Formats: sequence, C-alpha cells, structure tokens
Amino acid sequence: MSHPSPAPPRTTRRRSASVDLAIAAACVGALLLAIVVTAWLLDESSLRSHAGARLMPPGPDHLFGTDWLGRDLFTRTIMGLRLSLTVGVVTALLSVAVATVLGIAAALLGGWVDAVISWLIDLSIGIPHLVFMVLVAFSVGGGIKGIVIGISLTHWMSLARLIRADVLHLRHSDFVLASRGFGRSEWFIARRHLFGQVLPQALVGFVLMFPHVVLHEAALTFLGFGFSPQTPAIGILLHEGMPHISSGMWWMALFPGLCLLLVVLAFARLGDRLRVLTSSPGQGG
Amino acid sequence: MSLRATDLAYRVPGGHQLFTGLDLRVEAGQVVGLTGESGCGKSTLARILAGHLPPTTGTVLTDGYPVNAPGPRPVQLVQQHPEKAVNPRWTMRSVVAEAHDPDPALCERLGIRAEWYGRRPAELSGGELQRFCLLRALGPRTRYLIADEMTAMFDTLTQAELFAVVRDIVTERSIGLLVISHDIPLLDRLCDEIVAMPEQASAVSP
Repeated sequence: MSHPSPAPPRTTRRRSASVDLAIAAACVGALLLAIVVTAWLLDESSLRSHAGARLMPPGPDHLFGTDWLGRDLFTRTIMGLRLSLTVGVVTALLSVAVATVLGIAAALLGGWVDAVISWLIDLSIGIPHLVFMVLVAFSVGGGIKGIVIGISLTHWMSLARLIRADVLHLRHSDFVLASRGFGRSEWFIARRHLFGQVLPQALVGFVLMFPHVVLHEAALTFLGFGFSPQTPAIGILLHEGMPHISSGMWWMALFPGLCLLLVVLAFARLGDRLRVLTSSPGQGG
Repeated sequence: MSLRATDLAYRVPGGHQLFTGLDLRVEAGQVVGLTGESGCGKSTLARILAGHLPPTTGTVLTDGYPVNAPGPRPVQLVQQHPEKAVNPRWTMRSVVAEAHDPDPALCERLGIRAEWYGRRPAELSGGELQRFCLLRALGPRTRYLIADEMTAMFDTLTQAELFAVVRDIVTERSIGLLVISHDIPLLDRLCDEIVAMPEQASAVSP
C-alpha cells in the first residue's frame, strides 16, 4: 500500500516562493536597468537614415543590422523598448487604479452602485477586447493617448471583479465589523482596512497587466492605431520588418520580436511568482 | 438603563431557524451569564446584540436607542477568536488607536506590556491578543460589554485573574456585562444572573 509523500512544510514552500520571486524580480530589474542605461548611452544620431547602410545584416557595427532606410536596429529596438516600458507602466497603473477604486466601491457601497459597476464589467467583458480597444484608441485620436486610454479602459474588468469579490468577503470580517462598532466611517474602512488587504492583489494585477499592455501597445501600433510611423516603437519595427522576412531580411523583425518576448516573459514570470506568494496560506500578518 | 433584546429571531440565510422569540435584558452594572449547548446560536446572538448582524425579526435597544445607530456603539463585543477581530496587517498601536486613546492605568490592569504595541497580531499569542481586544472594547463610551468565550485561550489561573479585573472595571464604570460561556462554575462565580438559551432555540426544526 503506497502512501502519498507528505507536502513540504508551509515555511519551506513560502521560502521557496520568496526565492523564486527574488530571482524573477532581479531579472526584471536587470532588464529594466539595461534598457534604460543603454537607451541613455546610445547616440540618437543613429536613429537617422543612412543611404549607404541600408538593409545591412547583423555585424560588429550594427548588432541587430539596419533597416530599409539604413537606421540602426539595435538603437531603434532599445528606444522602442524604453517607450513600451513607459507606456506599460502608465497604462497598467491607470488600469489597476480604475479596477481598485471601482472594485472597492461596488462591494462596499452595494445597492445601485454595485449594480451599475457589475453591469459595466459584464458589458465591457462581453465586447471582444481588441475591437473595443481599437475603437477607443481611434475615437480619442490614436497616438500615445489612444494607446493609454484604449488599453486602460478595456483591461480593468477582471481585476475589478476579483477585488470586488475580495472586498465582499472582507466587509463581513470581524475586524471590519468591529471598526464600524467603533464609529468608523465607510471611507475610513475602505482606506485603512480594505485598501491594504487588496493591495497585494492589485500589485499582482499590475505586474501581470504590464506585459499584456506592452503586447497590446505593439499590436495597436502594428494595426496602425498607435504611434506614428517615425516613432521607434516595437510595434512599428515589427510592422516594418514583417514584409522583409520573406525576402531574406530576417533580422528586421526577429530582434525586436525577441526583445519584446524577453521583456514580456520576465514580467509575466515576476507576476506569476508574486501571485503564488500572495495567495499562499497564512499570508496575513 | 439597559441593553434590551425583544422577541429576537434569526434564520441563517438560506438555512435553518437558529432561534425565535428570544428576550434578554442586561442592566447597567449587572453581570449576566449566557449558556447553552453548542450550535444553539449564542455567538450569533452576541453579534446581533453588538449590532454586527441584523436579526431576522425583533429589536435590540441600548438605553432606549437602536444598537446600530451611527457613531461609536455603546455595546462592544470581545470574541472567541481575537486573531479574526483585528486587522492582521496593523500593529497593535493602530489596532487600539482605531477605537480610543487608551488609559495607561487600564493597560496595566489588563497586563499589557509596552513592547507589545509595536507588534503585529501574528507576533502575539492568542492570550496577549485577547487582552488588546479587551482594552479596545473598554473605551470611554462603552456601556455594555459582551464577552463571548473570551478566555477560551487562557489557562485557568489567567482566566480567573482576567475576569476579576474585568469584573472590577465593569463595577467601577457601571458597565453591563454579558458573559457567554459553557463553563458553568465560571458563570456561577462571576454572574449576578445566569440565562440559558431557550430549549426551543436548538430544537427548532428547519
């Protein structure tokens, strides 16, 4: 008769999750630092076109090769990543803020506020989000504003629903009921009790949202609703590089694509580790 | 001047009837014991009396006013599980400050040490945490205190010491005390009157 092997003790599991998280955070930190420092050190003159250096394959002078206007692809990729990171942070923050405020408000105030927010969540989730995102981005005029508003307004619902569920559970917890008994207002309870409790959830939401935003920014730009063609954005690089793959100029799409994949995977890994750690038993305290 | 529950009934949402037609009265300065078998609804009754839970029918009045009127409530509840009654992310200083500015003499009487204030709930034992819950509940506006199996995590000696202190405090301040416990000898020692949950409470069929 076989016995199942005993599960590792909780402290060991938490320590292992913490080590994983530290490694993922170090990778993301190193990647961010590399992108920001490299972008700062790069000579922006290499963004200009050079007729004599058109479509050069990767080599010592041009690590990622050059594009059809002779522009250095390494410089453009790094600049594109920096832009993507900036857009990713701003958009993910905005989206998480909307989700947190609406999630807490729906659960705490209940009644018609909850009904309206829940209806809005259901409605927004019901629309195919790429179509919704393109419509919003287009209606606000595209560009960076279109990307930020388009992605923020179409990516708050799942997190808002999670936070609403958390707060619905927490609002009947003994410490919240005790707080009401001490005469504390709903605003105090939301700010001091509930916000702190849902913050780990919001943080995980932010980190997981980030790679999603970067991918959508590239997609919107690729589809022509994002940045203008002269901006060195990853979506633009992919859009320009794709037609050249079939004619042998593989480097134009490969390197920007690989860099995007690396950033997205690093953040997704960090978000996943953070989620494991914050959802493990005995997290309180 | 009393905490008065009249014709209280509570049905568990989507479930069975826990109790019906329940009347209870605790006068200011009086110590009343409440006992009854497990699952008969003693803790639910405590939550209703403290205004944490609305009854299905019936009223709870404190000195003639509804118990859940806005502002700090005159009825405070100390529960069986102190770790659930405090925000796990707060220090004990914040936990107490949420309710009132504690009197150092009261802290000393309850055996609370100064170094515990900087700690979080997970860094304290159940007994230490319960002392903070008691301190928090004994604010200047508290007129009635409900102790629901409050000393379940204390040894017999500490239990006796703590109840002696609480008994003195409620007598000095004319606070009405409702002690909920299975420990009949404890209730006999402590209470002016002992009330048992009515037979029908646990016998009511779904």
